[in-house]
Amino acid sequence: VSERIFPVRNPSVVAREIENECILYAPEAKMVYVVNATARDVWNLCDGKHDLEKIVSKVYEEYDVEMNVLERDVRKIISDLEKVGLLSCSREPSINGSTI
Amino acid sequence: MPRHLFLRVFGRDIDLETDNAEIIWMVENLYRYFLVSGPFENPSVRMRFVSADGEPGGLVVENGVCLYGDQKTSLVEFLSTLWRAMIDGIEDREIFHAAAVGHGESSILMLGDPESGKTTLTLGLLKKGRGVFSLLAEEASVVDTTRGQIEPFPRAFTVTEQTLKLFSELCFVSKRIYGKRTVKWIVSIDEVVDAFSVEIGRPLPLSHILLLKASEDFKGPAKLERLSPARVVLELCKRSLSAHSSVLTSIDIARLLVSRTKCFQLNVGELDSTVKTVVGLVSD
Repeated sequence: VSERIFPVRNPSVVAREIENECILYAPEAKMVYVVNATARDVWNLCDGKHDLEKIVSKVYEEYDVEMNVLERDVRKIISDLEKVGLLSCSREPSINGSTI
Repeated sequence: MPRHLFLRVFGRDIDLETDNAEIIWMVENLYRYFLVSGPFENPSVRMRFVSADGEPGGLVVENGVCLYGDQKTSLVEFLSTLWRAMIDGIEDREIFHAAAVGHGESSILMLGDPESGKTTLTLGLLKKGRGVFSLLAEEASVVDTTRGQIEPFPRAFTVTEQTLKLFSELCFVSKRIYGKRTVKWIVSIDEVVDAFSVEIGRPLPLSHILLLKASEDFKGPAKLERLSPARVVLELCKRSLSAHSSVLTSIDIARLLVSRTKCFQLNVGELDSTVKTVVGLVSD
């Protein structure tokens, strides 16, 4: 993992955790998404302060999975969330981060 | 001559004035259990459907405002408008496009897309479970969100021809309405109660939520699969008929309901198998 990408949650998105999943509601787009536990953990780390590498290593602590598989999954999750406007990616860390 | 019909729905009083015989028939059959003797001093809604020239359409007036300008609307549109007037202002309750039955001291909410088998399963449970299942709702289920209970909403059943064919008890039904999607027959609550010797249930805590998935031609055995709570929240939100100020309110209400219930996807098969599967589930 080499890029310095800092994913940051769209501050207007509201999250509601339900057991091992999470519902993300984007009020501007009026869309509701359900994400699994891994995506929820990634989402929670997308505060603009953690870069991709740090997010992968933090999630790695929680799951019994090979690092290269996890890195691929985290990239995919971030890409998917970005595509639907739930987060954005920056080359610089955010000063204030974002809040859920 | 115009007539007044007075409806009381969860504390909302609706004064409907109409000269249309078909609407009078519809309201008297669909909403018989909500009709009360009037007049109301201060109704929540005053509606008029006027078709004085004898044509099938009419002008819809709600609280003095002509809802569609001077454009005449169809019977189906009017019934839809009346429906919204009935449910839009109901407080502390969430209304879902779902069927519901009572079972012992609890209740089962059955969600599903149109034609997924909600009405058929409801009738099947009432028939197979005489004395065990009680009637709560067929098309719109009302959940008291503070108590987590399903309240009876005894609107008449609207039944497709295929469903009617499965129940010889309903062979006498002849009147029909034209729905938006398919032709459906109205079966009044009294007719359901008499045909299946069932009772209208009392408010009962919600214990199970079933998401019905129709199999091809409703053949083969029914099957249950666990559903994740988040998925059920999503399905409930999709099927909420309540007018909320925000989607978040719907999500939070659905979350609360799901936290208290067991949730399954029911792959609908042949009627007997589907009914047995549900009876087995709730009897555990």
